[in-house]
This record gives sequence, structure tokens and C-alpha cells, in this order.
Amino acid sequence: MTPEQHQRKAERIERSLAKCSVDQPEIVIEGVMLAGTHWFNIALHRMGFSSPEKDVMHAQYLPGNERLKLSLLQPALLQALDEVESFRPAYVRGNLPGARRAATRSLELLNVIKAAARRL
Amino acid sequence: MQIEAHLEKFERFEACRRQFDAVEDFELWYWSLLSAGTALINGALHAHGITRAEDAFATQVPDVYAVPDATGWHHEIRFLNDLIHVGLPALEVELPPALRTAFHEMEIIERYRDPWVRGDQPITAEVVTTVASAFDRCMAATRQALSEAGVAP
Repeated sequence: MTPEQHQRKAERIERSLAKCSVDQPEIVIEGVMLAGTHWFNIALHRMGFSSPEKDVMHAQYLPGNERLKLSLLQPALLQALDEVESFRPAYVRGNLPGARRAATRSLELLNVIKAAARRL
Repeated sequence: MQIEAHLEKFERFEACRRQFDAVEDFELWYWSLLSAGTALINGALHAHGITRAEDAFATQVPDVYAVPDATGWHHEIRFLNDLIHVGLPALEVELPPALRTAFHEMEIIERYRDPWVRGDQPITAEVVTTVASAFDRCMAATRQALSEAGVAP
């Protein structure tokens, strides 16, 4: 998708996220992952990492050489999305304590991802 | 996860779904539905002994699980634990009829995941009806599978 299409989609998800509370950590973390991945794709497209015909679904699926390069060019962007993804096994698909804190942190990380994409 | 934990996740995701407008909030409405359905199916698979109920949580990589430990959790390779999605990982076993139906209906739901949530396909009332109808049939079949295994859904 084009950066404009990704942005519209991310903003739709963020409007839905605004209806949620961190007492619903599973959907907050998932919503941040979905919206954040759209912003992540905006960044990748603007950096020329990938074309609008080739979207990335998960940062961890990037080939090692691309992850390395991205970690040097946009470390905050990659670290933020990786951190959100790291919450999913324990708090979305699992039931470890600390989910509310992870949801709060996820919302902060979404702002980091958005800011990085918007600077490009 | 344990069966009870899956049932609890199902209820939590369903509570999330109810607060969303199916068209305006389609992405999170759909994601709540998908997650709720997958949780209940995982519970039913455990109840039938097809997959194992363990304190291990699915990651994005099939057969890699997050396993709790004293400091949080660590990764382990495990087999026949929770599915990430129906068919992921694939189960090389014959499913009971009710679960076969549940899988079939969930596969219909899954078709809408990437094109409509990660992609930009138009969200219409028809799409919502198709997904919601498949979910209702999927959940009826999964509840039947749970009952047949002696678990009250």
C-alpha cells in the first residue's frame, strides 16, 4: 500500500484504540501492533526499503541484512515495534502478570513509531 | 495455555468486540473476533487431547513458545501446543467433526485478515455479515466440541 493508504488505515485503528482502556491490555497491545505496523511500512516505503507493492507484516520477518541496516538507520523505530511484538506472547496469547503495564508502554511506543515515520 | 485460561481469553476478547462498531472499527472488531475464536479453538483442541495444555504461549514463529520462568519468560521449541492461527502450525491428525467444522469456518474468517486489516480492501456491511456469520457457526461448532470433551464452554 502507499504511505497515504497506510496512514489512513493506521489512523482508523487509532480511533478504535481510543475506545479502549489499558484494562483491556490484549486489544490495546494488538491495536498498537496493527497501527504501528502501518506506520512502520510508511517508514520503510519512504526510506526506499520496500515498495508499496511489498508490505511487511512483522519486523521480525525482515531478512537479517535488512534488519541490521534498519537498526542502524532507524534504531528507535525498529526497537519500538520489536518491543510491542515482544509483549504479544506473554500478555495477548499468554496470561503473565504485568499486561496492564505492557499496554501502557505499547501506547507510548506507538508514539515513538509514529514520530519516526513522520520525520521521514 | 491451560483450557480455563483460553476460555477466559475468549470472554475478554468478546467483551472488547462488543464495544466496537463492526464497520467503523472493523480492524479491531475483526481482530477481537479472530483472537476470541482462536482462543476457544485452542481450548477445544486441548480438551480433546489433540494439542497440549501447558504454560507455554505462542509466539509469531510456529513451534517457538514463550515459557514462563523466574525472571519472566524464555523461548523454547515445543510441538503441539497452542496454535497461532488455525493451520499454523498445521495439525497432521484427523479432527473430530465439530472441530473440522470450526476450522472450516475459521478459515473463512482468516481470509479477511491480511487483505482487510493489514491491507486496504473496502470494508462493507457485506464483509461484516460474512465474517460474523462464519464466526457464529465456528463458535457453535467449537462449543459443541468442548461439550463433547466434557468442558462447559
